[in-house]
Amino acid sequence: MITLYDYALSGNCFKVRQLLAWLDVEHDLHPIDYYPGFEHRSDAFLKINPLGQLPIIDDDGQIIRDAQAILTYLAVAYDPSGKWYPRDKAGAIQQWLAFADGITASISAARLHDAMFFDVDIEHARAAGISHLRLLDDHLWFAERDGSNWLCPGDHPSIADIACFPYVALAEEGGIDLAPYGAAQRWIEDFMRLDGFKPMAGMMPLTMPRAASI
Amino acid sequence: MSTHIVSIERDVRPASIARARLGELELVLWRDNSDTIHVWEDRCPHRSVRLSAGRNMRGYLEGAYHGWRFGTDGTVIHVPSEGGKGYPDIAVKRLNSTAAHGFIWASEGDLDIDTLHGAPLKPLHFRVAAKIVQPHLSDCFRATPWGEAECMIFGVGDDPVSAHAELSRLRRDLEGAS
Repeated sequence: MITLYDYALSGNCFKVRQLLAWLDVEHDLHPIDYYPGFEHRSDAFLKINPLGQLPIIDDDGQIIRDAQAILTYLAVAYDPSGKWYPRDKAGAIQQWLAFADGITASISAARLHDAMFFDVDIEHARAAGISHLRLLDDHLWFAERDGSNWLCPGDHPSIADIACFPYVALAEEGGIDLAPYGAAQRWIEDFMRLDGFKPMAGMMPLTMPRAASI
Repeated sequence: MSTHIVSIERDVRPASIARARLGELELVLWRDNSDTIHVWEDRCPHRSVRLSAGRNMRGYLEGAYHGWRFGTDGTVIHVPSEGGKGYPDIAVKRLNSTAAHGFIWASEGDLDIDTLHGAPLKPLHFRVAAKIVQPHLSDCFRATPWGEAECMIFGVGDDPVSAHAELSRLRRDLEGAS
């Protein structure tokens, strides 16, 4: 049985919750009071993850930290279809998982500054966030031209999309305007329309009628 | 403000909502069930919430906050808290707009459409004012002011990948210099 050490407002925890839901893997949630309780800095938590970061999973005694590592682990261990981590696209997937770390260090940091009052160089965080959004938006615009709505070519999203999604969708909570990034907005909209999407606070998936032409 | 491009036409998808700017005006773009694209100020006249946070119901746009519905003419056709009553005298601010050459053109005044032939390139947002970027652009490009100090560059070309690389290089130079 998997236990996820979870914080409801964490985008990194969202990634794991969402993949567990899509893979339909039974699990327990162990809530951590990240803010304002700072429970991730408590002695008890640091014993499990000395880095003091969420999420962590405990899979029958095996402790795994880091959202991207957990996504990879879960897809390899619990998705026999391979569609969430297509092995023939491993290079591209790993590249986007690393890119997601850059999103955490920039856009997520800006959000922690604005929403939870963390000590962050906000101008630097937003500028780095914009660099990441520009690259993502460029990539998605050219992917659309080639007939794909997802980060790795194909009809089905992958853990690359899950890894990059939450902090991009929540960018405006960090004072980063999403209006200039049309392709990224369409990707956010498509992600939120996937069956079984489990929004967290700050994401508003309003059901729209499907277009007749889609 | 004169006529400017606010989007690539195909980027305004059916049953979807797009955002743009024209100078100081924030815009919401939506395609209705007769394939007409509407360009409105992105602000609900009731509580000023972004209309782009709402939903495109194909025959009308619905606000996210109190569910006010705006018909294709921009007027309020349904207020849930008033039993679904319409208010034809309350309307969103609409811009004049039209689709031409693969782009959506909009203006607060009369429309004056320019010619721009070719495949639309990836639009690029510059954190530099339009008047600074404009002198560096060939006549395959148009700059749309985006607030006071930023702009969005639309263009056409046969080789979208290298045109994009060149425009990105110009952006690096101009943003680095400002």
